[in-house]
Amino acid sequence: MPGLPEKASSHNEKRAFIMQGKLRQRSWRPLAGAAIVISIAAIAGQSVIASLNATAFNTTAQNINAGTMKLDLANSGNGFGTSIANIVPGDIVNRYVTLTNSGTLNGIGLSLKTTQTGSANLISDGTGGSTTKALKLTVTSCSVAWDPNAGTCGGTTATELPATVIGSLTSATSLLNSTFNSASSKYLQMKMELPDQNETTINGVYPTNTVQGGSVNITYTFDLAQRVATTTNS
Amino acid sequence: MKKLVFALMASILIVNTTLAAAGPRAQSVRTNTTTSAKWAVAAVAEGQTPSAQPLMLTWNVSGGTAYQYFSFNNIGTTTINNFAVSISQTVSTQNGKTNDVFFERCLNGTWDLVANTCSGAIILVGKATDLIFSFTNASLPENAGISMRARTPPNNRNAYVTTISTSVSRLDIRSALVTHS
Repeated sequence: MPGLPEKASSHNEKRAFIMQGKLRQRSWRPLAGAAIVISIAAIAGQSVIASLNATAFNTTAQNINAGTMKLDLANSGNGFGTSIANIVPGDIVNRYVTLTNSGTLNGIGLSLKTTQTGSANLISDGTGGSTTKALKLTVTSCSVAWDPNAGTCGGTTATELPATVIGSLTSATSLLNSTFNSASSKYLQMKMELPDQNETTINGVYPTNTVQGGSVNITYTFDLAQRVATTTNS
Repeated sequence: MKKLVFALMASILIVNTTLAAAGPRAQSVRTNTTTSAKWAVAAVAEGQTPSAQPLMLTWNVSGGTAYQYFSFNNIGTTTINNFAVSISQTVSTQNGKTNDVFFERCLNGTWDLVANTCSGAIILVGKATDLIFSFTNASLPENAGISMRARTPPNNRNAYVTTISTSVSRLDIRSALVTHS
């Protein structure tokens, strides 16, 4: 028997040794058992704490859409679709367009600018010794659609842009009513005028500074910014 | 190090602020052309083209009646209602003198340049000694002309030059219009 003294000669000595071994086993077994029980309890205790969770969620997914910005321009009558030909001093040519905010966002800061190429005397007023008067643009809105043939407004008019030399419109100029809500339209009269002025042609020769026989290509740009960002609670 | 971190944070804040202020925009763009009219009449000798100069008729007639044919042409882009003609004459020889010249048009007809006749009615429009005469209510369309004849008196024996100038002002074309379309 392991651990048994070599000289354990009597049965009783052998038995006593064995009993001592058993006693030593019995003394640590309770501790081991306790340790095991405690461990099991700790593990079991953790599992019980993890399962105490609650969840809540919306059964229908929340839909978030970003707004859009879109500006459409349509001719009413000739509008911008037909050039203005052979204008003489004093002539006023009225064209009509419909501007629509077809985006989903309300807009602010509606503005107009022009860029032009061509005869300088038609773009800017003469300076120094030149007294030529250039083309001028006036924009007038009507609360309802204009009659483009009669030039009449069945509602209320407003001067969105007073008479301005086209060469002075190279920077965006805000219209009078610059707030532009989604799904709404502005009915605009675009009045192009060559101011009255006298020139005399002698022997078929035009004056040095002349508005005669000129040509200008004008690009009209309407611009709209998004509405001011907001914070809402609901 | 702290300064670097602060600068980085400030830069991020500025960029975010700028991006938030820009926002989407919408534009609509159209292009259109505008042209202006021109008004001009030129006196042009028969068979010639406008020269942007006054018309000079040189006379060196030894006898009889001399004729020179020319026209007043609308070289502008709009109908001419009225235009003025001014006449001046200069002698070609040291001891010469100028004679009067008569300006005529062939109404409702055409000139026979060989026979020096008019198939319609000859209308005296003016004389050189008038210095200035006018065409009124001419209603001369673009590219159209009024055919004219300059005639010397009979037995003209002087050498001289008759200079014809034209002028058209804004008042000589149509009135201003207000149009809607």
